[in-house]
Amino acid sequence: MNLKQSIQNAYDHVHAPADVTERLKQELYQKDLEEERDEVTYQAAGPQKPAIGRYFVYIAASLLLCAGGVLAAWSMQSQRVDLNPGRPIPGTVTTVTDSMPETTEPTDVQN
Amino acid sequence: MLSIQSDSPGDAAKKQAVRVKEDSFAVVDKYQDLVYRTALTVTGSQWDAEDIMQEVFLKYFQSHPVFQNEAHEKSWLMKVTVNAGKNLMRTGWYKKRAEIDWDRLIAKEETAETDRSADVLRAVLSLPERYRIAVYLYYYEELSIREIADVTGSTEAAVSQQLSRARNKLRKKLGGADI
Repeated sequence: MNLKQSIQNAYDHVHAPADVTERLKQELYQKDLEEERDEVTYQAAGPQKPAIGRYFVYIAASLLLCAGGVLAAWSMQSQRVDLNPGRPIPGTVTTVTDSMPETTEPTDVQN
Repeated sequence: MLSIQSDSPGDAAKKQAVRVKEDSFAVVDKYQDLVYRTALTVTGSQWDAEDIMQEVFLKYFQSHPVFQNEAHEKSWLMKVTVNAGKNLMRTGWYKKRAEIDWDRLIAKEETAETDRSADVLRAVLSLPERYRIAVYLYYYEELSIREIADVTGSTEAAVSQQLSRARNKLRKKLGGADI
């Protein structure tokens, strides 16, 4: 008997164990079932709709941020301390009469 | 009157699933020995071969490969099995190797032929890994040297050398007279 025949005879006696094959088939069957179940669930539920509520949350959050910004700006403006009250504020018109001291008694010019 | 009976989508899906399942089982039945023998030859351990067999078939059904013909499918399975075996042996924890249970591995009939087969198999599995893969693919699966090089990812010259050295070792182990 030559080497090739010997090796072929030897390997012909080797077979995958039946219990391992059975386990493998069971595993494949379970995977098939799981896939089928997923498919049925998907078909029953239909394709997932886009979540509209999420957009509302985004819009509400944006509005809140804007409102917070406006409130902060208003608060800063109202609590501003003028360290130099005499200084004319740029952009405002100051009249001369505003700065003249008021006279309480009229002076007699003719005397 | 002509009546047309059409399956509902659910029935069609069920039939398709049953067909796929039958196909899967047919593939396992057809190639289980090929994958097991290849894995056994690569790892030299029947327990690892069983694990690898499961891994290879799961990979087969998960990746849904497309084959041109049966030879292509067989080649794919052998290549994946060889790679899975090599990866397993490369891992750091691959130190403990259980002894082969020859009663489980080879058919139980106690004849001179099975004894001789066990001796030959023992001699082949005791060769270094790359030698025994080359021997198995060349002598049992009857692949050409080029095909073996493709499956194992080595060169044709290397495969030829491995085969030559493996033959010499086997002759020494089995006694050169009858081989």
